[in-house]
This record gives sequence, structure tokens and C-alpha cells, in this order.
Amino acid sequence: MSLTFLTLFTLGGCQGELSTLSPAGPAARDIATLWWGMLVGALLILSFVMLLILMAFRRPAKTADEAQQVRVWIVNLGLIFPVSILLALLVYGLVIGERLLPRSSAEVITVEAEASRWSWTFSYPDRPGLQTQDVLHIPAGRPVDIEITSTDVIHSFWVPRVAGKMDAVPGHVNVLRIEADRPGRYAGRSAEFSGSGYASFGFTLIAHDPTAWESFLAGETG
Amino acid sequence: MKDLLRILIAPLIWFVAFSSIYGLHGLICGHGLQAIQIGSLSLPRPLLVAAYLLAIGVQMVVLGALYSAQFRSRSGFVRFVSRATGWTGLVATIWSLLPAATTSYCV
Repeated sequence: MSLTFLTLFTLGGCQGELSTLSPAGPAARDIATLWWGMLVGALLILSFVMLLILMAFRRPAKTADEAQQVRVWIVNLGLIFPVSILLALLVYGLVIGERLLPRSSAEVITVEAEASRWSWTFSYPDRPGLQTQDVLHIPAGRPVDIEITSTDVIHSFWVPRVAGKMDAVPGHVNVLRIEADRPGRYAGRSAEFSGSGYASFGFTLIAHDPTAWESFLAGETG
Repeated sequence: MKDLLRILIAPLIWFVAFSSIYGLHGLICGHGLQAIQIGSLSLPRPLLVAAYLLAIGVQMVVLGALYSAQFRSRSGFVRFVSRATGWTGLVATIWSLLPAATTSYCV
């Protein structure tokens, strides 16, 4: 019980602009839901195991026969129980993985992201010629595919409140689907250490409402 | 030597199947084979599912052989261990290759 309180107390610090537990988009929400499910499951299993350990110190009223002991402790609790948990996690993980994939749709907007030590350059095919440095503009409430690459070493694109991470690999383009629920500013980081300038290697994602997005594409802002 | 083979055969088959099916997955995407259609179905799905079922089938045949009077070991210890690794190989094949056969590819 104290462990549960300690965990919840510690989680009180999981707020802020880089918190995956404060999701602001469908992909981040799916990932956060999986994380909460795993945390609750892990706490229940831990409590159950602690209970079993306590029971081990009590003298049994009568000794069960060996076949029953094997059935309960080896087959049921040792094999079937963990396999069931892992199977549920596997299926849930596969379903969420499918949901996060960047499938083509007329709604989707594409932005190119190029990392180099230690800045991000964003290009917008919807507004050819425009590049922004360390500031990524997207429309709120619409899916956006970020085409991610790198000019030097491996970096990792990550806006924790909006989506999961994706590696930026030299000579290769990876695509990450992101979406912000509401207009606002969201902090992004490279999630891969890349040397002395890494500490300040961040960027800002600005999600615009439809009017502001049209203004941005028209070149009135940016 | 034969006993060692009985113990290792299922994990070795899993190793080969894992490398082959994920390698097939890479070849399909790397060479654009996902564009080939068989009727209304894209070629990679039946290919991957067939390879998955083949790998499971081979593991089941091996497991059956490990229980059969003809192929099982005379040593009780080896019989127990080889059947345990046989089951492990079968479950590992079903488990670890399921995503390659059932989820989206080349996205």
C-alpha cells in the first residue's frame, strides 16, 4: 500500500511541457494509456506476489499433494499467469502500433524535418521554399506526417506530449504521424545523445488554428 | 550427439524461421513486391502467412517426433529437456513471428 502511495506521490512530478503523461494528441494518448495500463497491472501483480511471499511465512494447515502443488505453482502461476499477461500486452501493443502508423489520407499534411548537430530544420511542401529553424509549425486537429532525416549522426525526433519518438537517420527518411488536439506550443527534443551541444538541442512545435495555419501557408506569419 | 540435436533442433528451427521470415519481410519492402496483386489480395500477405504457417508446421512435426517412440531419446533426462525445448521453440515461433504475418508491412 505504501508503495502505491509512493508511486502516485512520485507521479505528481510527471507534469510539464515534456511529460508523456500529459498527452495533447491521439498518438501520445494511446501511448500514455498503454503506460498507465502497464503501471496498474504491474502494481497489481507486485501486490499479489507480496501477498504470496507473506503467505509463505505462514504454516499451512495441511500439506497438499505434490501433483496439486505443481499444478498450482508451476503450471498455473508459473506458466499460464505470466503468459496470459504477456499475451494481453502483445495484442494491445500490436493494436496500438497499427493505430500509430502513418496511413495515407487526404487529410494528412506533410512536413520535412532535417536534424544536424545541433538544430532542426523544417520544410513545408505546402509552402515551397519556406524553412524554419528549431520551430515546427503544424495545424491543430489534423494528422501531420513528419518526414525525418539527419545530415550527420543519428538523432531522434520527439515531442512527448504529442507523439512517440522516431529516429533521424542519415541517408534515410522515417515517417512519424503526429497530431495536436488544440492550438498551442509544445516542447520537442532530440531523444538521442549527440555530443557537446546536446543539452540545448530542442525545438518548439506550434500548433495553429485553421485561420492561423492558412495565414502561415500564405506567408503572412512564420 | 543425437541427444544434443534433439535438445537444440527446435530452437535452431526457430532461429532459422525468425531470420528467414523477417528477411522475407525486408525483401518484400526493399524490392517493391507489395505492389504485386493476386486477385484482390496483395502478394506479401499470403507469402508471409504461408511462411509463418510453414514454420509452425515444422515445429509441430519436430515436437511430434520428440514424443514418438522412433525418435525419442532413451535417456529420461534428455526426453524431458528436448520436449521442453520443443515446446519452447513452437511457442517462440508462434509468438515472435505473429507480428510479421499479421500486422501492416512496408508502411
